[in-house]
Amino acid sequence: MRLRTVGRMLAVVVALAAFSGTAQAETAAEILVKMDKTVNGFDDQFMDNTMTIINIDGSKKSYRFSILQKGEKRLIRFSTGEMKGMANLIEGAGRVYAYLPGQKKVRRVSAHNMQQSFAGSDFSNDDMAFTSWPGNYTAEIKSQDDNYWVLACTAIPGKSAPYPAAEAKVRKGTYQLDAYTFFDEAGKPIKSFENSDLTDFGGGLMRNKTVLVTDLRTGHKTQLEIHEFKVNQKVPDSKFTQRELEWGR
Amino acid sequence: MKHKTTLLFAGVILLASGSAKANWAEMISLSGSLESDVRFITDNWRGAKKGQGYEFEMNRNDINLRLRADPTERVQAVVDTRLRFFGFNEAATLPELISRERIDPFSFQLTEAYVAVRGVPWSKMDIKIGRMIQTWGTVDMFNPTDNLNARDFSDPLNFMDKVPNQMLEIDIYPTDWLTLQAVWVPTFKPSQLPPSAVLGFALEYDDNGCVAGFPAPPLDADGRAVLGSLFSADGPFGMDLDLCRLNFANPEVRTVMPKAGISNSQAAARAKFQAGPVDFSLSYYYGRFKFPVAYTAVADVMSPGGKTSGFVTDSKTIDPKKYNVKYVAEVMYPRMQVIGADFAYSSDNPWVPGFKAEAALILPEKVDFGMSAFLDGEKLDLGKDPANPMRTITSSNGSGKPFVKATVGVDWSYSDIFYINLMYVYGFFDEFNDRFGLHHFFVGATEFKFLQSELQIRMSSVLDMTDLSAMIYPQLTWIVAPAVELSFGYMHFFGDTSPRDPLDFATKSRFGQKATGRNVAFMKAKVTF
Amino acid sequence: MRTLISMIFVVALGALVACGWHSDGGKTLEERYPHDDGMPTPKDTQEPKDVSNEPDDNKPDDSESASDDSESGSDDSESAADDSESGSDDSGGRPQLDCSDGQPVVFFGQWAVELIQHGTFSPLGSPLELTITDHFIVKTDTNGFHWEFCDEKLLVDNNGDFDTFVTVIPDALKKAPKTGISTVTPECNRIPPQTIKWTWGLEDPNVNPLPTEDELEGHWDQDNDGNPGVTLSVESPIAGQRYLARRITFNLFDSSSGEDSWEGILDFQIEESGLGASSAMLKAVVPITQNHMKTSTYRVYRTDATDCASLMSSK
Repeated sequence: MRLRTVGRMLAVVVALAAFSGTAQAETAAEILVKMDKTVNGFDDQFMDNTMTIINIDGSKKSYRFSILQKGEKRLIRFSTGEMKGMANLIEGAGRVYAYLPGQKKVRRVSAHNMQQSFAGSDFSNDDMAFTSWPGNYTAEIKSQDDNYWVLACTAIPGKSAPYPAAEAKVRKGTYQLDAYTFFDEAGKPIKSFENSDLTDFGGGLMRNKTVLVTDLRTGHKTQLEIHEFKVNQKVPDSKFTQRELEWGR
Repeated sequence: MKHKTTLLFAGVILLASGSAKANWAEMISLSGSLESDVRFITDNWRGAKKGQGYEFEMNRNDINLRLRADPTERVQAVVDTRLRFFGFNEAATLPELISRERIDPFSFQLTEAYVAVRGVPWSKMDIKIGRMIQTWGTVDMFNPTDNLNARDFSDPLNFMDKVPNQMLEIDIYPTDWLTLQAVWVPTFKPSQLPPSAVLGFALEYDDNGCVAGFPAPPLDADGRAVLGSLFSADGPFGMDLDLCRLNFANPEVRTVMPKAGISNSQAAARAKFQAGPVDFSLSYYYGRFKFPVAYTAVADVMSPGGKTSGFVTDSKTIDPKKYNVKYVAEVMYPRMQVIGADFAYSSDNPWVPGFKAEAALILPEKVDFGMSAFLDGEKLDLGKDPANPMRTITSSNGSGKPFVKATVGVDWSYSDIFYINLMYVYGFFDEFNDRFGLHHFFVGATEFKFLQSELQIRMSSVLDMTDLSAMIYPQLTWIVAPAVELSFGYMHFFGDTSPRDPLDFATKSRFGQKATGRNVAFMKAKVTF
Repeated sequence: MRTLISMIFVVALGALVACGWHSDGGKTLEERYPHDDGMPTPKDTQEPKDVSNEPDDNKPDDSESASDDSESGSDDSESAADDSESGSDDSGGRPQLDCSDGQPVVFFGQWAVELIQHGTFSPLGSPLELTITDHFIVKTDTNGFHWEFCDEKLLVDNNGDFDTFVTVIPDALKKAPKTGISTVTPECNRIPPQTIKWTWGLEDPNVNPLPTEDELEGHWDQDNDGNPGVTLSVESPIAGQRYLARRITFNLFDSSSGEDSWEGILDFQIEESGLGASSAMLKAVVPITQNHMKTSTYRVYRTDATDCASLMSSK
């Protein structure tokens, strides 16, 4: 091997080492921001999903719905099941509206309703309204290895974090959120989310296609499968208004 | 005129055309449901005749189809239909047996058929024209500000159905926190009453087949005194007449419908505001009350061997040995204006219940009820003073003074397990502060969910605190599979079937009277697609 | 904001112009079915006539005179002008009517009247069916109608035994013409609906309340036997005598006519007050109520019998 080639290889190794050293130097907050960017860091995003609820006895039932999101606003529409035609609009913290097709009425959803499960799944309404990690949690690096950081997250008082504490497993390099667990006040784990099946949804848009939620108290599971994922479609703010809900009725 | 309207319509749609959808599959959305409903009457004292009951009341199947077309992002057309098969044979004669429609009767209903256009002519304006159903008000079910559509009470288990009507709706969204709405309804449509409503005008018979009671007209104390003496020697017939001596034909009730003039069209406007945790709205309605109010009554009496008045009608069941009586009543739909307000409060604290309130100030038309009687063609003097004959009794059945109807409610839920909704209601749907007045109600609904909401047990009840009658409605719903529901339940009414004072209209029991409906057990199945 | 103000303005305007609505059902009926109160009404001719058909000396004190405005109410008779009055207050009724066809209807002669009343009473605890048949003979002449009470037959069905209850009408009652019975007022081709009252042992047929054993005011010792009221002999089940006052109100409904006869349906109400008895066990008054499961009737027919004895001999 020529000396010049060896020297170039050494330079690359040194550069890589320097890069690794730079990554290790990132703070938990920075990691959290970058992770959140892979999940929510778009001007807007659209997902078409199927949610499969898996009972303890193995029986399943599925619902199809779509989510349109921009910042902290979300519009969820059910397209199958007994809730077909229903829509939820999250305008912001504490401002949630539901369209009930049977009554042809838009109804404000109270805070106590938010604790209910989303369509009988292991997602709660609060989970569905959760749109920002750094906006709701502070983080510390609990542990790490070559592939992952594990961030211990604590809810910011006064914000709308769904649970008091969480642990997020962030993949190094891609900052994809591969798994996270929510904990109650006593530190007991409540729910775990496992994201898998990283897929290119077109134009290099990477997203974990499958999310498996497990209720750690009951063993009950819910699987979310993303069929379609689009971002930055220049969705206007008017899509997240009661006018939009009324239009759909 | 028709062509011009079509062209105008087409022009509006062209203006509104935004980006057109690529293909039909994207434009059309079809949804609907199949429902089956079987009900069994669990009493034998609330029917037209004593002992009638313990039989199937309903055996119907519904197919609901809703077609929605979105040819562009700014235009939407909706057609919502219902095909109902009643499930009971109606063929009573041999020739009818060759008709499938008689053996298996059905009805077709167009629930909604409208076109909506968004952002035309102003970007913050939406227009909707066609047959539709409006739902105003924030509280659940008992909405005194919701007056545009008449109620459909053909199904006593369903308080939320409405009679659709053709309307023009304009919605304006000037800001995020303000929505303005105006609706014009050209023609009037009355509420659809339950099948048991005819029992409100039915006669009661004793074991001997003699008339034992008749529906009391809305008379004041003086009028009731005249009514009470009608068949006594002090009365206008001048003799004691045992009710067994009377042959009553079935009372006839006619409706006085408003004419289809523009002055009888309805209009309403509403402003909805959002202010933090509070949503509130102000509304105004001009139109008519959708439930019938008693207006006139005529008793046409023919003595044995005598003649009918000819002014009213001839009885078809004349008994030559008895006094034959035909009672013809009229009901009308009084005008009203409604000024409404409602609000809903949602706290951020999940332990704080949601709070809703809605009130309507109703400015009603004054209604006076009139009653006359004829004997053998001659109008009777119902008074006591021969020098001043009184050929017609008149009693107030709606003073014309403004009155309030209101609902206040709280609801709260705990996780997926428990939900409770409590309401105080002043003034039921069909109460118009006439001689029956406005009653106070307490409404409660609790729901328990099990097995990830697959199994729901709901208990609803309504207590009339004015006459202490009540209704209970327990229901079990099982979501067998997504979009498939099975429900079992029971509805029971408590209260006297006869009024406390047989001559006093105001003493009939809200839930006890037979007109409210039968006690039923039901089973329903529904598939949504 | 401008829009809001405009809305408020519209509401206020609407409130101002739209009040004053009034639907008057009474007025609607008056307009739909006008009545000229200058004309007599059926009530005037249908008013119960409580007039005795006896001559003056037998007439109860407070008999009401028959109506002066004598529209008959039948389809084909303008009840002829002047002399179509039926049942004048003093003659007990005129025997002749002028009818629209010009042919007089003459009620001269003898007429038998039967009032057949089906009732129930409970002397022994459980209700028993009974039939009371009152027989009258009525003679008419130029002076009017003359009533004579012939007899009353009482038939009580005591579970197939018809002989348990036997009473005897005193002769004094039969003969005493002042029974208080009012005229049966005929018209040209029928006996129109009317109320008649028949009293036993009462001065005033309308006295209210009836005299009692403790308060005898109003009673009339009609049979003049020294006992109050009318003395009714009871032969079975307990022998003895009862002193009583009684008022029977008959509502006669329209009649159908045959040859020299009329028949119709009646309702009756018996008010009775015990004024004493020969034994304590006979003092109790057992009310008799009409049995609506059977049809009570009246019958008026021409008879050849000249007196009660000959009439009853054929019964």
